[in-house]
Amino acid sequence: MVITDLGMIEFDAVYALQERLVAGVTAGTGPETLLLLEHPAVYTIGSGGNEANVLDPSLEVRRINRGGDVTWHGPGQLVGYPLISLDRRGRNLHHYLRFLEELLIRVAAEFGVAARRVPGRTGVWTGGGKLAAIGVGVRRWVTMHGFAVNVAPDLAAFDLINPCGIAGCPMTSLVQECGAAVSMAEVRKTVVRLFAPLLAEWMPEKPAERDSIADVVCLGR
Amino acid sequence: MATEITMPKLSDTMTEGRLVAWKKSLGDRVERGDIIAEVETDKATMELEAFADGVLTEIRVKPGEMVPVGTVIGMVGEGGEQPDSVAAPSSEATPVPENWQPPPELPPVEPMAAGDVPERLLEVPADTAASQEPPQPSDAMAEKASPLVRRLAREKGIYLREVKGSGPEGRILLEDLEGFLGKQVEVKVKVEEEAPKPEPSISAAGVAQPLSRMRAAIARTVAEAWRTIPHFTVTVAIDMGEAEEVRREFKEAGSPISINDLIVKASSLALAKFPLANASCTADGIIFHDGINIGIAVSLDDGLLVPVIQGCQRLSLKEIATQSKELAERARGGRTSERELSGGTFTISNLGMYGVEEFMAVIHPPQGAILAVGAILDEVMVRDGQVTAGRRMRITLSADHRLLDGAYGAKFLQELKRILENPMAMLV
Repeated sequence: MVITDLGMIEFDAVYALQERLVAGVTAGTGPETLLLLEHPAVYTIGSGGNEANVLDPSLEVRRINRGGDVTWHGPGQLVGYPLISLDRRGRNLHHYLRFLEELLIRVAAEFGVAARRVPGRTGVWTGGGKLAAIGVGVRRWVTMHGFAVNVAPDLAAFDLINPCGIAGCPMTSLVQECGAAVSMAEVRKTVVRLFAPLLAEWMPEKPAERDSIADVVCLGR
Repeated sequence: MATEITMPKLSDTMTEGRLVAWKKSLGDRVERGDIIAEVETDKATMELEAFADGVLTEIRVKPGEMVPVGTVIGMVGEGGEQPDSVAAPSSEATPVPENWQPPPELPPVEPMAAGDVPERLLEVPADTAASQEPPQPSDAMAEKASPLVRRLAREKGIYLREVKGSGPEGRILLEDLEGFLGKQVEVKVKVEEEAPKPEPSISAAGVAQPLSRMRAAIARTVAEAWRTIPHFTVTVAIDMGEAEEVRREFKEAGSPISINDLIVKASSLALAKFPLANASCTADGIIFHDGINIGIAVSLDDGLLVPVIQGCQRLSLKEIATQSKELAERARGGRTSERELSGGTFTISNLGMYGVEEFMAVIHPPQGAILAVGAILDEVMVRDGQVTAGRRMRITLSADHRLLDGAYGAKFLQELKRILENPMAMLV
């Protein structure tokens, strides 16, 4: 498992990097990777997302190969893209979504914020609203895209859209929930510390690893 | 040889998925490993690969459609091959077995309209009472069926919960309905032949039947309410599409809630903003109640009980669902305690499961208002200038005119409507 901090980086650049790394994980030639970063402000929408949720028609919205509807990424938000082989870890996509939620709930707890799941609404929530969004794409059982947790962003950016396709969805951030300063670096460090052990606990690698990789290679030519 | 492309099962719990996009067009060449479509479940999309070389000969599911896991969504055939089953109906994940028969047991007795119930029938012997479990409010919309099937069932007067679905996940298909209808007609004919002649009406002859204890209590309460409370009613129609979606999502997430639970939760939020609907009118003046304690009218064979969910303002949707279920079960089992029946500040009466469109309920004194909830029905709606089919429910507030006026009642309902049409507010 490799965890890389990319700092502030354009959406397109990371997208290309994800594609390259995913190909490596699929082929068994590259390691599973977690990319941590911030994006300059950008709106993205999942493949099946509804344009009607973009309330300001002048916004430029990138349509990408992940689940979920429209969302915003920008400074003050920690974005994580885990490129993980679900094939080696049990082929259970919903369990993977619950794992991402668990990770973010525990990260929030480290800052004294009680976050939780809302059944049927993938993501992480507090009494004040949505704290983190999740949107995943899977290619040959390798994940891309991932999560975005609001550390201290300008939440007004969400006013121009129905976040995740939910009209009037209240959004919140760690800073808003704590009522105190929380730095991006602290949150990033917490994610780095918790990610690999939790992944191993929730989605342990299967021993028959080599065989299934051979399978994938064969299917993918 | 043609190869089926099916909706993949991407986890243990996945029951259906949405086709997001086709990455190949009809007639395109595909090679094993090519990405041919994208499907979505929850907040994740999965690229679907071809497992065989050939030509995409058939597309059975359109982008945006939700289908059960295992449904054939398209076919990859050999080049030049004719699409082999274009006209055939889409084969569902679990096809109906050819020898499938409608369930042998008789359909339960249909609930009668309130006006049809002769008073003496209310004193049914205990054993019949036990065999006729009243339908639970939470099951009113539990059956999976297409809007067409629902409409047909409604037109034919069939309760979908009585029909055994043979489709995936127990989905009720058109043929199930037809099968059920055939059986039901047979049964009805039989019953008519065997039914004894109705006895002459006792009350017409002037012989009084003593009221049961429960009937007497109800009689006292409603008579007092009707005599002392100047009732007025306001009705509003609510688009329940989103609320049903939330309910479906809860169910899939393993914590089932009922539409009634959503209404209880929404009412508690609306009552917090409209305290006069959560108040009592007394000789000394208006008493505003701090707690929002919502009574749920539970119908029994010989009357009704109104157990109360205490402190709804502090309870999450899930907690309300749990308590509501427990209270209803205890009421039906005759185990309700005095404490569970007292302290109510507002009541909800739901006759939606009987297909009732709207009705008016009598206030439960010393409360100041009661909400009467009708069925969710498919209706034509105009949304953004477009005619569409929608899921509409009518609710009627009966209020004590001494406490509040029509406009206040209307604003309360407006708030309730806003919450139920934007159910996210109830989740966070």
